[in-house]
Amino acid sequence: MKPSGLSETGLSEAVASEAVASEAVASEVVLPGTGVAAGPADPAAVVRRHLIRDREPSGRPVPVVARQRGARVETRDGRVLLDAASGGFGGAHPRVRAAIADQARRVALSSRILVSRPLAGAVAALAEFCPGPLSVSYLCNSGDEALDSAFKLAKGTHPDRPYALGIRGEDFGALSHGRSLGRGSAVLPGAPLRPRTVPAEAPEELLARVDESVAAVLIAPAAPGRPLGRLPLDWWVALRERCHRTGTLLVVDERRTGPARLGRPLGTGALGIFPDVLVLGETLGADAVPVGVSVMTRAVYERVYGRRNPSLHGSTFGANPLSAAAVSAVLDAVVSDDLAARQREFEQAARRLGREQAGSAELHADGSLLWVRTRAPGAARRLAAELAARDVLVREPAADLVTLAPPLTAEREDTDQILDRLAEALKALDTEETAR
Amino acid sequence: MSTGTAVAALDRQQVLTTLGRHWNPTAALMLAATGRQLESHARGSEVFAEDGSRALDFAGSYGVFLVGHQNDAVRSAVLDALETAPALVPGTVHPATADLFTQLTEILPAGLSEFSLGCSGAEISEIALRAAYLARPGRRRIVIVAGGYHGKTLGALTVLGQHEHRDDFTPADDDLVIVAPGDARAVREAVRAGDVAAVYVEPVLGGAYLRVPPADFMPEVAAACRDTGTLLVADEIQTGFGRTGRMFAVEHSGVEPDIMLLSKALTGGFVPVAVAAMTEEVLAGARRSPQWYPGVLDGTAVSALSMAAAAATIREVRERNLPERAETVGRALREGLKWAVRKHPRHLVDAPGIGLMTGLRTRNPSVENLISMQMAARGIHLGHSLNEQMDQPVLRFYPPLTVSAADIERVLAALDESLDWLDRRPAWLMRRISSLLRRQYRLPPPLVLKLMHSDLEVNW
Repeated sequence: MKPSGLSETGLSEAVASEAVASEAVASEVVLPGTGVAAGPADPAAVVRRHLIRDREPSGRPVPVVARQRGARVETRDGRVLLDAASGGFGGAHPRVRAAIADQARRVALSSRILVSRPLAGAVAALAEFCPGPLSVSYLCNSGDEALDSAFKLAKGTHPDRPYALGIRGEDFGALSHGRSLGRGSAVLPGAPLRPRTVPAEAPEELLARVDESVAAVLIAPAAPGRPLGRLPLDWWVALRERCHRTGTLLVVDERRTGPARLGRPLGTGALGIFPDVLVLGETLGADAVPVGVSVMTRAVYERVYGRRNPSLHGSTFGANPLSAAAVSAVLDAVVSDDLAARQREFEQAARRLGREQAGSAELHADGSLLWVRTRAPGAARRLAAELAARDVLVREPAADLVTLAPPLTAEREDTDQILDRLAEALKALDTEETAR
Repeated sequence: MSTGTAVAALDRQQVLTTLGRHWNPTAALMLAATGRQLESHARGSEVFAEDGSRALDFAGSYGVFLVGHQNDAVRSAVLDALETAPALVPGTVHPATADLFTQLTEILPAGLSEFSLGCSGAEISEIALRAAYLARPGRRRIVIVAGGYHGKTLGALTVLGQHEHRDDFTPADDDLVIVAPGDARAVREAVRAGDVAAVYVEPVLGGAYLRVPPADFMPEVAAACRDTGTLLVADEIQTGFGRTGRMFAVEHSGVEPDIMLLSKALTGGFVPVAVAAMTEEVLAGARRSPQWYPGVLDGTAVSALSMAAAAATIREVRERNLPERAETVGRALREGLKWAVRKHPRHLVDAPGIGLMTGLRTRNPSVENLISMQMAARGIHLGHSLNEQMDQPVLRFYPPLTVSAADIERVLAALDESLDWLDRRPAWLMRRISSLLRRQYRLPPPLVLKLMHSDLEVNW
């Protein structure tokens, strides 16, 4: 049965009457004193008061953003900060921004009753971009949620298996199951999957812990503190084989490493294996549109969701046209601008810096995922403060690790500045440490 | 040629093939079987297809399109953020976040002053769950309402009241107490022993289970929670921002929950966003827990577009007084649906409704399905439950709160025609269709398309 009869109006007529409707609406909404980006005079105070945040106060005023261009963040009080914190795509890529704006003007979220062309574009682009048999994409609203969908897929595949396996201390996102795996202890008492973990110092032990009680192994190709080459190729091959043998899902988490971050399209390409599920995050939405994706093999998908009601999994916003348009545009930019090459240049410069600086800290870069391991958590906090004093934004250190990950589209000039200031900050840290 | 250019040249069959191969094979089959066209754009209460057809959107993505599609004020706030500073960069404050928080504090119950940000309702539902377990250490049990919905992430699934969506992953255990909708006495009984951390409740039970509770339900649940130190989590994801005729549905009873969940309408129809709002007492209690650690209640907000969309949406709701509009303009829809129930008792059970949160409880899934298809043929989209396993699914009518009286009239006229058409179908046919619907995903896909007289092909 098709919509017909009452709905034969041509598109041009639709657009014409839309223009009339638009004028009518516009005249209604223009009210005095309601500028679009109005808002409070002291934004930092309002956010500090109401946002649940457990950071230690740095004593430094939190900058209020006025404008963003690549790695440059201009503040309201006229400073220019360099973003080594967000680890995303960067906000001002002209083609990507135009694609998002164009889609936002047509249809952004959707009731999803009609067939979505942008969605088809995104999932086709993902299938082309991801290696081997990874061809079915689940789109949702964040990388963390996409990773959660991998936990859920694992539980659906093996309802009787109690464990998810991962490296303790690494980042598995903000959803409850991801948090549990990162901490090595359940955060929800009745959680469907419990964490089984190995220490970050001994990631290779993961292999021996895969057995038929484990529903899924979740692992990133590289992570702060764990270089891409830390686990050798034959280890990855053995992990793949063991997962095959035990039916355990192998989930490669590329929220922080893909696309392009490690100086190659995907980190997975360096592992010599195909996972069952590959997870990508916010970079695909150009840090502007919340989106995450888990891309899986058809076989793995069919086992849980095949021939089932499509509402068995999903979310209200997931697979919306705006996020789909962003995903397509970002993947296109990654390839056509060869953003991986740009991250390789960063890696070379960072490694030069690593060789030149003779201090106590260990510095490593895979592509533009750069991390510094200091002697102790206190030193990591001091290094972050030294960077902040030099207008370089980084995330809160994780124990003794400080991570720097500028936007993929950052200009060379800005990433050079980030590295120069890091060198200064490391020098200052060494002076401080010696003084102690 | 990039994939983007290539997709622009695909015809409808090719788009469906792509979706079937690379997204969701059964969803693609359903879109093909129901003859859906390619989505082009949307505006106000209408969505437009590439073939020029248009439809009134009374589905509204279950409450997302509260201020209509392509609301001018929201779109301009979103595009402005995209142009100037689209991301929330760690270590900085974006003015749009502060703007949103100011707007929220002006409309929320005064005690709900602590906010966590997220990208989806499910995510903040998990945040509330973590907050509840932390703030009430030693209590493992949670009370939910049968049919209640709080998201489908693996953590949120543990408080889902719809067994058909959870049993494949995690069947309910003894720590979950499931009470019947509107049964405050059962809630009091469940929390009596003091071992329940939280009661999760939608002030108006939504989804395909839509039901307006008795007036004393929420006050009695709140009292039972207060008496036992149990936290009350009000999930206002479907009801918030005016849908029920008040800014928040808890205002009908004056109840002030400990935690409130907000999303859907807050997006303004543009960018995913969600907020968990809780009291200082809950947050302080959570921080005292030995299980607490820094960041445990953080969400994943990355987009300033989300913040800008949400702030602009609340402004729209307030300036245009949309909650009141839901009540006044919605009256015609609520009464029209009730009239339809009286006229067609063979197909319809009742017409639950409050404000512009309305629906028809159908006798069986085939009635829901056939009305839905008849209305689609008349250019009207409704909120189909996609739940053929339920006995009496509610077909939802969730128009924008900006909807015109004329559009409501048109929908009611079309509904009358659709029901008259349904009256002429024999009872055996309805039974047959229900049974086919319940098996539809097990049928060979080509047979499904043949049964629906589709000229499309299943090649995925």
